Amino acid sequence: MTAVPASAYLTLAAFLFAIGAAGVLIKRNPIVIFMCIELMLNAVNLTFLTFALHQPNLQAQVAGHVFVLFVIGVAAAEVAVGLGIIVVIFRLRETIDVDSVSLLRE
Amino acid sequence: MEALNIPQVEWSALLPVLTVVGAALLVLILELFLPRGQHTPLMLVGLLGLGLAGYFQLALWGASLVTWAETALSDNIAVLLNLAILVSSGLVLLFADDYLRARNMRYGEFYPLLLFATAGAMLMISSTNLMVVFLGLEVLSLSLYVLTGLARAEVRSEEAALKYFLLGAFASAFFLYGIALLYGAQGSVDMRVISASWVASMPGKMTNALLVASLALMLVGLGFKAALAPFHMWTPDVYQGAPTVATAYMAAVSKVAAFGVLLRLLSAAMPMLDLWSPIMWAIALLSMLVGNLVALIQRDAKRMLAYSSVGHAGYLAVGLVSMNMTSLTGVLFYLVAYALMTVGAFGVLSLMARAGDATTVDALRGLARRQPFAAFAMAILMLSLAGIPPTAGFWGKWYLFLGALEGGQTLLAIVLALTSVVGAAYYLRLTFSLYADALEAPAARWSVPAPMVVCLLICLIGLIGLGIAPRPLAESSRQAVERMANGEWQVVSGE
Amino acid sequence: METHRLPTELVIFILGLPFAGCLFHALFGGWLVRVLGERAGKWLVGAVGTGVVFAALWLSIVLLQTMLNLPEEARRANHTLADWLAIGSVHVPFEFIIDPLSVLMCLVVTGIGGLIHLYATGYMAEDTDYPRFFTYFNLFIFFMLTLVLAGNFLVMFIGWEGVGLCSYLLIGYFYRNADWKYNTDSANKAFIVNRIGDLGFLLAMFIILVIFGSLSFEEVNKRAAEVLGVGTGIATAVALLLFLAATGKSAQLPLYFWLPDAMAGPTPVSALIHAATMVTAGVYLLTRVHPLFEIAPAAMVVVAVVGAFTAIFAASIALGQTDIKRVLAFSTVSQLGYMFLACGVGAFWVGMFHVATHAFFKALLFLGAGSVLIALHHRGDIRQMGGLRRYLPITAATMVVGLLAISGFPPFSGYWSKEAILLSAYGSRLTEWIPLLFWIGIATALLTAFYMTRLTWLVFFAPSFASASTHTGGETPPGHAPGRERYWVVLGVLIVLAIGSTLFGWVLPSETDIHEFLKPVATPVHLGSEMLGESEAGKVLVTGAALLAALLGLGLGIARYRVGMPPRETQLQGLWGVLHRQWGYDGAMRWLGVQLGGAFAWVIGVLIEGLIDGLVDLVGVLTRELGNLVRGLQSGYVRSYALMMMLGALIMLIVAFIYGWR
Repeated sequence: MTAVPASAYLTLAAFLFAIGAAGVLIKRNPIVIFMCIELMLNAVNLTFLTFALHQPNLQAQVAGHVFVLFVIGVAAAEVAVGLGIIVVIFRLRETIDVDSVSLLRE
Repeated sequence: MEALNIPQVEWSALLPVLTVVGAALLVLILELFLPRGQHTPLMLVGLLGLGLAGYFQLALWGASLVTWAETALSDNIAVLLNLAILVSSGLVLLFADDYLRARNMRYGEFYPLLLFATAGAMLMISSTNLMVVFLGLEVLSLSLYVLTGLARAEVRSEEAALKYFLLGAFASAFFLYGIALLYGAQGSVDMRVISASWVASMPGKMTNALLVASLALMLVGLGFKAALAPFHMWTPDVYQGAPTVATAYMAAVSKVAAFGVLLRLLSAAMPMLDLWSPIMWAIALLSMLVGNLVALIQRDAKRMLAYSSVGHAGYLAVGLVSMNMTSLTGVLFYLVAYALMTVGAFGVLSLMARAGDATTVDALRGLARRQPFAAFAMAILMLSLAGIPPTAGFWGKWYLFLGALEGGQTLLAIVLALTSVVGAAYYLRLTFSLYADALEAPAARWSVPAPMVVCLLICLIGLIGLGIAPRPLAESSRQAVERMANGEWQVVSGE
Repeated sequence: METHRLPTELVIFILGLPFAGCLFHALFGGWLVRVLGERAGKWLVGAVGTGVVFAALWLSIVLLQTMLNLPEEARRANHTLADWLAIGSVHVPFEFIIDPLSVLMCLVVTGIGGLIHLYATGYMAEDTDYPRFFTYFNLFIFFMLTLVLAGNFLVMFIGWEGVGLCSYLLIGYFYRNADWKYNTDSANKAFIVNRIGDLGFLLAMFIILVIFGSLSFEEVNKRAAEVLGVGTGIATAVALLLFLAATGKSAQLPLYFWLPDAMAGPTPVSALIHAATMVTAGVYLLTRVHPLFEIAPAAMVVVAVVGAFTAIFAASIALGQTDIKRVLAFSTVSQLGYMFLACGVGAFWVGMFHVATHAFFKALLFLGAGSVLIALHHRGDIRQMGGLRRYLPITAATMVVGLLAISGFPPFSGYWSKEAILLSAYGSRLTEWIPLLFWIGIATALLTAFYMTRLTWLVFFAPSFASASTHTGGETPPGHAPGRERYWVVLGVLIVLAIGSTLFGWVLPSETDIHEFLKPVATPVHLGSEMLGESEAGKVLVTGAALLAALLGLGLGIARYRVGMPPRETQLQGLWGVLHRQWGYDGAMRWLGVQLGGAFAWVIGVLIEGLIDGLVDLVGVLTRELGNLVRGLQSGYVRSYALMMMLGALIMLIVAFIYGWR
């Protein structure tokens, strides 16, 4: 179909996932952290689609595509909830730095 | 081009979940038409929905259905655990109103969110299709994020919600990546196929590696939800920061749901035992030690219970590692008992809302004077959590312990016993402090609200009843596990 | 009518009736006394309490009759009430066993128990807490019946613990008296000492559960030899643990010393629980699982030696006691020693025979003592008594019957069972190795006759202490004159028991009847017959020696106490003091108990306080000093939590590939 082999897509997806995970670990702004998580989810989507391309039958191919749609939907719902929480925190604290949000500890 | 088949559907398998969703939608609409703060009808509709769902669920006892293009199923494990979820949700619904009012959080959305979360948790258990499990997990989690942050005026609550949300989403990404790799390996995300694909996969080939990585990644996601160490770190912060009713709910329900999935997944992946057994072994050991030892030094009762829930997750993981009939029976038994104990214990803590939601162990001192019944109930719940006979907690631990011995996991069994002793120490310390004199002059006696009395009575009767006659539940659990092990499914689809 | 099956359902009613009685008293007793008035209320409570036990007796008799009509092999049946517990793959049902052994015990418990209940309606008539007494008393009967009817170890353990609980409650019954401290201390002592025995029971039960995979008596008895092996270490351990349990409940050395103090309870309690029934539970346990003992010859030797030694040890102590009930308490310990001696030489049926006869005459003696105590306003010092036969003629007559029975004079019941014990002890192979066992038995018989004569003579026949010791002022102080026999139920029960003590063992039923009856359940299955020789030549010797000993004891007793207690003995000087203080054993145990208790408390203190504090400190140190390990990780920062998860995930991936990748 294409000249690019599946392994290239998968490697790219793995790198994206790793970059996302690293971002979660080093970023301080929850919105950026969340964007990193989105990156991880999109890496997963890429993986799904790559595998879907190489499925032998239609049923399995469509399944992969549908999964991607599900993931996009779930990600959208997460954005809604996540931004809501972040907005409330901003109202209360005037800051959303995750490191300053650490009352609960020990 | 091949035509896609429209699958034939057996509605009854998903009827309980659908009933809960229906009730949630109804409550959502109803809330618009009610005067502000008037929540009793919402609670009643919710309870009715849960009751109805429970009835439908009970009717499914004994069936082994797979339907909806093999994405939904119903078996005895689903019936048992879904009933535990339904009962926990019902109990929380019952006593939540009083707490919300006392903390001035009269948000009507509490009720539909709780019901959606329940539907999500039930969905997780009612499928072997991991994508459906993921959807259920997300429905549960998203609702819980909002419930955690329900106390909008409090930084602690919002902080807990943010942490839970970010870490939960992070864990979901791992889980999802695991599913994607599984899809790549076998072209399907059904757990029931895993063992066949593992056996068929060529050593050294891609498929093999994909399966290995996928299982490990999925365990990360589920370990997070089940509060297993080292993925437990959100637990104390979130349990403490969340409104106590939400804590009661998530502590019971998400543990049942997560372990339900873990039980299915790991027994489906039996041929990969070599792989996940050492992982789960280490996780179980770590969870028992970290949970129980750190719980010892906690001053806040909610945090203490949070760490202890990590310990309990460790006990349950011991049951999964041992993977024999007795230990899996123990896992199911323990989950049911644990749901009752946790809901009851956090329920009693929610009574502290009127005292400014102070849940430190010191604030609980002398509770026996102010609320004798609540203190008595708490004492029994603590005994059960500590695993002291004649309570359900004892039998749960007993089956797990025996199962571990049968499964040759002697070290885990010993650690289980030892950490239970440590656990008994902090549970009993809390119990004693309830009956110790109050530090200050004792406050006026409160009467425990009637719904809470009902709820606690249900918990106590259930726990002591199971403690005296564990047979029926143990027997049902055993049957459920045996049927799953036999793997005989009645597949309903129109191909 | 011929039935071909035992009506096992009767078990439910035999157990249910006393339990219903207990509930009745607990729920309505106090209310009835208030509403109906003192007299009618107490009458009703007493009638119900006694009635349920007699009803249970009647049902037991029905069971007995059906059983006698059946062929020998059909006389054993199980009744499963419910499937109770599943422990792993082991199922423990709530089951009862009906066989000659349990029916015999049922008859003893309900028969003697019913009579003592009846007696108590008179004895306790002036007690203010009447319904509470009958609540406990009925509850005791319920648990005792559970114990004897139990079909497996766990059900028996419920009964075992239950009777212990009732015993505890009833020893401390007079907790509002002036003596409340002594009474509650005695109750606590009984409770604590019995826990040591229970530990043996529990351990044995767990070992049996693990090894046999069953707790059912039938199965354990059947498979004992093949599973445990004859004479192996584990067989000996199980038998010894069970015997430890028996020594606790049946007051044998080294755990006997709670029983004399248990006399702090009301006299009917002493008669029923601490003489006739509960304390024989140990003997019953041994007989019930006798195959477990037979395969452990070493344990059998221990049983016989401990039994014989306890018999003579307690009999000697009885000589130095001055309280009427304490004399009888030590006599009970001594008689129980006889029973264990019989079991130890393999004559289990003889042990049970003595349980039955002893129940009659010991109940009689205790209730007679109770009658004396009523007359003397509950002052039981025999040094202050004398000449009471003029005031209490019927009591005196029945006590003499008791004396003759316990001393082993023919044809009273004690003669038959004691002779059977001595005979089996004489004929056993064990005695060939340790001939002393038999001679200890004979010596104990002598001592028994002696101290019982001492007791009876000093109380009823010797010149009154008060009139003899003119130097104290001569006149008995007003209000302290002995009362008369007032309660007809008390006398009636005494007479019935006296008749029983006279006839049981030779008229109805005779010794051979009982032997035949118990043969299928109490005949050793693993011991060779040579172990149980019953030589005809020996019979003459044994009977002669026993009778001679008894006569000698009687004669010496009358000779020594003809004119009252000699002053050296009254003041407990010399040997009498040593005997009075139980050879110092009780004191030593008390000291040891305090020391051990202190040590135990210290250990617990160290464990609980130290361990928890230590753990807390340890974790505290970990968190403080090593900073980043726990608190540092639980920093409250989302990023560090995520880092933890990430690390966990990486390690898991690595482990998965190490172990799983092919």
